[in-house]
Amino acid sequence: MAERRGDMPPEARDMLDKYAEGTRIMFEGARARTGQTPKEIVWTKNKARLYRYEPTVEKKYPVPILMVYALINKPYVLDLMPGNSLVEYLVSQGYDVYLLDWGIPGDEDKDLSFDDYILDYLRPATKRVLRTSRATEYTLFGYCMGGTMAAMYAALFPDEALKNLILLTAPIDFAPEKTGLLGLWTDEKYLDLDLLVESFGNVPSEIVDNAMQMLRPVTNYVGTYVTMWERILEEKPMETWEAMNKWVKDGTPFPGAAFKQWIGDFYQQNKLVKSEIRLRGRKIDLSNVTCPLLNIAGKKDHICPLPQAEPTTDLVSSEDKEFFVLDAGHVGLLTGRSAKKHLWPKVKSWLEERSGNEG
Amino acid sequence: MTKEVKTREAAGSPTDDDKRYPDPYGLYRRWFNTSEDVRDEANGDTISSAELGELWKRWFEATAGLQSRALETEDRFLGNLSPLWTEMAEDASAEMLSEETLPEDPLRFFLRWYNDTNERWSQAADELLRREKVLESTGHFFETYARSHRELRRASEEGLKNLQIPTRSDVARVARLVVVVENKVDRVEEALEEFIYGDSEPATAGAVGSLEERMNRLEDKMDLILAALEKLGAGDDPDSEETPREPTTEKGRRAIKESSADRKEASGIKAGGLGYS
Repeated sequence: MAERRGDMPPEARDMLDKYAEGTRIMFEGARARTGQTPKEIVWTKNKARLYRYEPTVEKKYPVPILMVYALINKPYVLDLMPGNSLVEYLVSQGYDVYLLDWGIPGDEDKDLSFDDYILDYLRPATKRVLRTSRATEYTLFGYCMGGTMAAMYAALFPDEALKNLILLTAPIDFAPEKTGLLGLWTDEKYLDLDLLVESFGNVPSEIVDNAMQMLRPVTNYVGTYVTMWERILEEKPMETWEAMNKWVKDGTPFPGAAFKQWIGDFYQQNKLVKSEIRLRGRKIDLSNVTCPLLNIAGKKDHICPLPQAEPTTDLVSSEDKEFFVLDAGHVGLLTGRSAKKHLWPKVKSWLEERSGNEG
Repeated sequence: MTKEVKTREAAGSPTDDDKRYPDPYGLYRRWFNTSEDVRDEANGDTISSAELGELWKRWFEATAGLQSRALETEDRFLGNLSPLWTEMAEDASAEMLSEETLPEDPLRFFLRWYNDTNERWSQAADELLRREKVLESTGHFFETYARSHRELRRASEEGLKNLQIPTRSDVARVARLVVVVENKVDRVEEALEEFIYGDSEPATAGAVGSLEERMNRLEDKMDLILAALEKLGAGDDPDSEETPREPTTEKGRRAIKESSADRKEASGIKAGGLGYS
């Protein structure tokens, strides 16, 4: 076989190699080293881990940042790969960065709800951040569903320790006309929520992933691989594509009780904007949020469309607030060339005025 | 064969010398070559674009048309995609021929086709996914899927139980117990940390001593006040000096106790000393 390959003209051999690479990725899945910024675990609870990223430069700001991600997929999208990581960028700018990773829920976690995640996980994590950094204030940064959770937390504990709130594509208003296809699919008419949770316990990641991909089936199921083949044929670097593809397919199950709340209370009944969400009896009223707010959304976001994120700015009582719109999609605004040019510098400049520069 | 086609062959297809290995795109190449032969035979090298388009249209009718008819016989909602498919197939063929070179292999052909048509496909898919019938079908699918999963799980759990093999639910139950224990340990840890790092500090001997000192000072003041009050009252009481009142504060009582003990001790020493001597 090797002999026959050796006999081939170079163009044919080259083409064969490219085909082999593409086929390998399609069948075996993307391989990429993600989440490479050095970090240490400073707190754990059940499956959750609180990471503190090791500083690469001298700390310039006394206010640490706590990043909170969604309950689905994995949070390493915030630290995708060297040179393409928001975490790495903020650390290099002198920020003390923490990331709360909810972990992968097991069958025993099917009863975990937002009440548990916010009161029993996020609350102690914020305390741990303050203690570890010996700080009195912190910035809460929530992405996607993590942003919704961060907003709820800020409404519940608007204490003096919460210095800033950054929400990145955080769905808040779930009115049917604003939720797009996801709103249609989760309509009570078509989705038997109780049956789904009762049957599966935790909702399998495959269901959640496919639902997300079906929002744009042609782009996600075909276009992604078209891009892959084009990059291979044009001999462009594949690392970022592989890292992103790995992340997209690296889902986690959605804890049953939390899924029921997310679809039932948020998508189906839009309780958050009506201040009807209660966590262990404590009412979530977004008007309690008084700290400075940076609310970021993407024009091309189909998971959290712009109209879902925009109302937050009006719902909070903060005097210092800004709604910042980027011409990007749900993940595109966080990683890649456009993110480096627009999102990262924006977060940095907004924060440095509000994080008590020590330098 | 025209010169242009020969150039294409040089770039993408095996030459006579290289034909020792199987050409993976043989069929694909033959397809393009045949269509070009037809073109050459019918019109020589001077075929007009309109005629070329007509030829391609015929070709697509034979291939894409089949697909479109197949779609029509599918479910009603998919049938609606048929005109779109035909339209896009025609556009793609025109687009393909307007390029200077033909794609070298089926993959490149597909990529070019996708880039020319993906927007319309996306739009069509979006419209399709919003249709009531599709939403209903998806709902039914999930319901059936969930029910089958539940029944399958129930049956396998039952079977494993009969075989006395621990099931996933059993493991989850044990794991839940572990989580409960872990939570309790966490609470103890938190309480300890609150104690160590929080506002509460252990009472040291120094802290207790200083507290005692402050208490003493307070009691001194109280005694002084009481003594002054007693003196004030003594003006009306002639026996007041003979019957001194018990001090009110603990310190006062302690001082009297100590002074009387001192007196006893002093007198004892005296007496003893005398007796001894």
